[in-house]
Amino acid sequence: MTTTTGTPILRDEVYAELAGIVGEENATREPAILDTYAFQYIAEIVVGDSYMGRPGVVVLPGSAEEVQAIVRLCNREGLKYKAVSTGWGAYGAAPEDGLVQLDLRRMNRIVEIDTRNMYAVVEPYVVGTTLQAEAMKVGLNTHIVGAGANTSVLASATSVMGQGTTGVSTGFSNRNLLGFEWVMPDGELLRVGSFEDSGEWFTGDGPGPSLRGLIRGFAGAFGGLGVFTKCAVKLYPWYGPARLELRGVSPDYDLDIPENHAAYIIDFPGWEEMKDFGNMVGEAEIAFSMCHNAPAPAIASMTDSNLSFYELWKGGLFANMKHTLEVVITARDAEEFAYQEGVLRDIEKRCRGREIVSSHYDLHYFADLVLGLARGMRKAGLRTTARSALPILRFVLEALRKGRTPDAFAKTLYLALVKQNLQARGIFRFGGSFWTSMGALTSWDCCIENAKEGERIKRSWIEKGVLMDDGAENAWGGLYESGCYGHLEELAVYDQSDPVCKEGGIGFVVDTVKATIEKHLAFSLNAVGDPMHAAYSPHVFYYHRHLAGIKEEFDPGALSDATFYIDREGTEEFIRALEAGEEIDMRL
Amino acid sequence: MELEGLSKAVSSGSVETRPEILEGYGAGNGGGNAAPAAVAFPQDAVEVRSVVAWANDRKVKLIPVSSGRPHAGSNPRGEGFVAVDLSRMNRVVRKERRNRVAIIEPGVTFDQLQAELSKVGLRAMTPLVPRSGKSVLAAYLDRTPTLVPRAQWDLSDPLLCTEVVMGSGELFRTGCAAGPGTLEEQWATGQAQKNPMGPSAFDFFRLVQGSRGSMGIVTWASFKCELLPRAHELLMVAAESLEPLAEVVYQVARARLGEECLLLDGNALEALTGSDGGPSYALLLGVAGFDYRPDQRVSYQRKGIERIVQGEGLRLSRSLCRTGGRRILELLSTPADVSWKDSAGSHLDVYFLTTLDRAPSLLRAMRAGAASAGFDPYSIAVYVQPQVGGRVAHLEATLMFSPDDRPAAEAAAAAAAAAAAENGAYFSRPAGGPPDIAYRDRPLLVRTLRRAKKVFDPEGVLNPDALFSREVV
Ligand SMILES: Cc1cc2nc3c(=O)[nH]c(=O)nc-3n(C[C@H](O)[C@H](O)[C@H](O)COP(=O)(O)OP(=O)(O)OC[C@H]3O[C@@H](n4cnc5c(N)ncnc54)[C@H](O)[C@@H]3O)c2cc1C
Ligand SMILES: Cc1cc2nc3c(=O)[nH]c(=O)nc-3n(C[C@H](O)[C@H](O)[C@H](O)COP(=O)(O)OP(=O)(O)OC[C@H]3O[C@@H](n4cnc5c(N)ncnc54)[C@H](O)[C@@H]3O)c2cc1C
Repeated sequence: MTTTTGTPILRDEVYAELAGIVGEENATREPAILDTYAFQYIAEIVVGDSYMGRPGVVVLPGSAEEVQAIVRLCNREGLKYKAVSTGWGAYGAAPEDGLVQLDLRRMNRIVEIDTRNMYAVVEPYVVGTTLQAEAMKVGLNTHIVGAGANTSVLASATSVMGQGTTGVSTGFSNRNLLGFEWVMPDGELLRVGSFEDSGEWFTGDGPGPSLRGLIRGFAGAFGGLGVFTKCAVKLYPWYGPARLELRGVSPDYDLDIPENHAAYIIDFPGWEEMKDFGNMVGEAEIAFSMCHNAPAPAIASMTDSNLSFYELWKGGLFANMKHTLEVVITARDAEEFAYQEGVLRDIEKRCRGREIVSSHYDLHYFADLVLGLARGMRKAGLRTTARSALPILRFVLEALRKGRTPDAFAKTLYLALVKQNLQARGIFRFGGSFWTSMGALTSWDCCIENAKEGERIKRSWIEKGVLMDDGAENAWGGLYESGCYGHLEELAVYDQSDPVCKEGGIGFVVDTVKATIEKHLAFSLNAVGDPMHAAYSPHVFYYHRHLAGIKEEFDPGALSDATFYIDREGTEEFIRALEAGEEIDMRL
Repeated sequence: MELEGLSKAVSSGSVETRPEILEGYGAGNGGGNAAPAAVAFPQDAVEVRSVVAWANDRKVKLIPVSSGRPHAGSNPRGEGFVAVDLSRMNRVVRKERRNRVAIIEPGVTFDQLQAELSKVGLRAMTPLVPRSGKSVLAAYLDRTPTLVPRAQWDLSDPLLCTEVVMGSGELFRTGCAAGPGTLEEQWATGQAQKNPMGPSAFDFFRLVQGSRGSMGIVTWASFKCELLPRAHELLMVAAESLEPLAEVVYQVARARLGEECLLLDGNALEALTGSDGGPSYALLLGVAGFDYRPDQRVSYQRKGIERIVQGEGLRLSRSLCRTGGRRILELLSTPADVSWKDSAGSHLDVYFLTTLDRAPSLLRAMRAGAASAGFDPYSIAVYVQPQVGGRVAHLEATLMFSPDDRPAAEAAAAAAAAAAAENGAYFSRPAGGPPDIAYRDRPLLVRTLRRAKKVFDPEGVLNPDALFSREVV
């Protein structure tokens, strides 16, 4: 028996066996529940429909042994399967119906925090905020990706990407992965790294070659290479209190910025100064966070409704203040703070940066604020400035009425960067959904080139009426590993219920992909799935052959769903089409 | 072995078969290894590819070598192989201050590199006293520990992007160097080959690193450079035992203070400085200032470290083994012709990874092991190198002895390694202990590594026995 799309319907005996592995209460074939796994963010761009395929069954294993038993059963029965940890996007699902979905939410334990050796061992459903709260109690912190504090630490470390706003001091998820426990595609269970020999998870490399390199690179396998049931990640020192006390209710949070910590938004004359500033701050190792958020999402996260956002935005002044970088300093003591802020201000001076937001207000800041706003007004012109003045004044008065202090923006910024709690507010609320593009991990100078190119391309798609007008410049990203590399991705917001946006959105993505290839702007974060591999691989040493080699060697039956990983045949078919000069459909 | 095809694969005169030359690639200082049938000296990646293609054709084993003077016994190797010596590929392809990066070929040595980098205000991370002529790339490819844990974000650091000829003969580039675009085209958009990840969803460089030449032959690599300090000094702390010093290291790592950070025992310090009077153990901690407010940086870091040291009831020493901090700092990373470890004539090393808190008990276990084999446990020299910001510790025990005592020393080293393994030592670089020590009880791991190799070296031409013996499981 098959579904309408031709995939086999799960036989009753197999369902019974799966339910036997996880317990009746942890397995379901209820259509209404299955559909919740299919209704996914960006499905409309990925497959052109609001729904991905409907899984044939959802099982909630509670241990690595249960995962192993499920994967073995899938191998025996020739069933496709896919794990999902926190389920934030279409990549947790497959385009076709019928797969065995492993929802790992029951595996939610922090197995260990090794305080001295600064790492944590987590199960799949441990999310950033939980690990962060526990780590802060012992003076440590974790890297949280820009998706937000409510996503799985393990999914990012083993299977997805890893960009986050504190990367300059907390690295990138790939680089933070130490050991891991891996239910391989055939159901064998391998613990990679130091654990088997030492009983500790302090490294994932060796003996000999590092198998970290097999399971992920810039991107992960997105569920295409078995299931990860546990992993160890690096933790980083945290020089703040054991608990960040928040006051107020969402979205109007307030907190006291800890002593010797500070948050700034710095405005620059243009992109070139931003390049210099990023490189210098990176190598000076003074920042806890150094990143860029465009004016639209920045204002969105500082206003409490779409209406108040729009009031502030429509005058146009802020769209002209796009050359900004955000910096958070978290020093251990006053002496270190004096050094770090001193260096920051030396660098600001060299790059003509002006602090337009600061939690550390002194004369320097107030002078900068005036000069920074004056620069923004000059860029915007008299008319735009005049149009913007009244709403800004109104906003300021309203804020004062609510009892906000002048450092309110800096506090919001600090929270957003330290706790990653404003992502959805900053990006989903304009049109209901967003897409991203460009975003290669590369030198900071080239990141800025990515942002410039992304803005240029996006403007044309805004003019076509496909994308929302967010000022066109909506790059997000920052530095990693003391500025060793960085990323700036170009976000695009759209109305997911509008057919024009749904249909047209992919066109914007295709343009950015072409630009990164033709203009050598490095390997975009969109390079996931067969059509994208086909676009990039011929320009990147035909990497798909080797990636496919790994997939075929370790999962010859192709049962671990590889929609967002690799299929050799699929990719090569697209390559042939591209070589024949055809346009290919980038949807999966 | 038919070598005509090999001669065609490289430029004329680049294949050596003279026995006296081949000898140097074999047994060496009593390593007991067979000499190769020939040595090929490719000049560039194209020639490397030709050699690998020839080997695939003929099913000949290849062993890459980058250090002009390879370590004795670098590889457990059988008979009938060809050494691919990359030491003639020795260009510093690029060095760049803005992105703190350099690109080098395999034959570049630490001596040569440092001279080049200092011209642009940079320095390379070095292992403890690299030997002269040592290939920088070979050291980084082997995850040899370097001296500044703060600068090491990942155990793979400072290695970044690579160009590599796979065992299959295909040329590949890893990390963002892979493209789109040639290196020149990438430079034109401001790129600098500093993201080591990918391309796409695998990190081939991680499979090549640590593989002892069994996955691919690297023809160039980029790596992280650090800024040349404007102010730089060494703080030294002596103690009766390792424990309080380890505690200081933990706190210093937490506070992200300091540059060089390593622990040595008295035997190691005496051998290194050439003077006696060493303390039981010492912690060496560099502090530095760079382009921004260098003196202020040194000052607050120094104060921070002093507070930690005093908190542990210890104090800073002005000199160790009658040698001042400035001289010791210089000794740590200056290449040497004669190894400090050979002060008694000969030496053997046992090295592995653990965490700092477990280092003292592992050391005791090793000493007991060596003693049970009749070796004086207190003559062992100890070097502990914190890595990855203090999360990992490389523990290295050196048995120094006169050449006549080799058999006894070998037995003692084996006993020490076995005792360490029993107590949880992690031989992440399998050459750190006796053959197969890291793989003996790991059939699934061995199978997985063999499968991974098959993807990139289907005929198994590259150093096939480099990691474990055929009978390991
Ligand atoms: C608004 C938004 C912003 C985002 N921003 C970022 C960002 O800034 N940086 C970034 O890195 N990513 C970002 N992402 C992508 C992604 O959602 C995140 O990387 C996220 O942390 C992973 O969590 P998730 O809930 O998507 O994971 P999941 O849905 O659980 O899984 C993601 C993928 O990994 C696979 N997977 C998950 N768990 C396992 C497992 N245990 N074993 C094997 N495979 C597994 C799944 O099959 C799926 O393909 C963003 C996503 C959204 C929706
Ligand atoms: C006897 C001995 C004692 C040692 N003691 C210590 C110690 O105490 N502490 C410690 O940390 N380390 C130790 N090592 C390891 C040693 O430091 C590393 O192997 C070294 O850094 C690189 O070795 P090499 O300079 O001999 O280079 P090589 O012999 O040239 O190379 C080392 C390995 O890398 C491979 N290789 C070389 N060039 C390439 C290339 N271009 N592409 C791909 N593969 C390549 C070779 O095949 C070989 O397997 C020891 C090694 C030996 C043999």
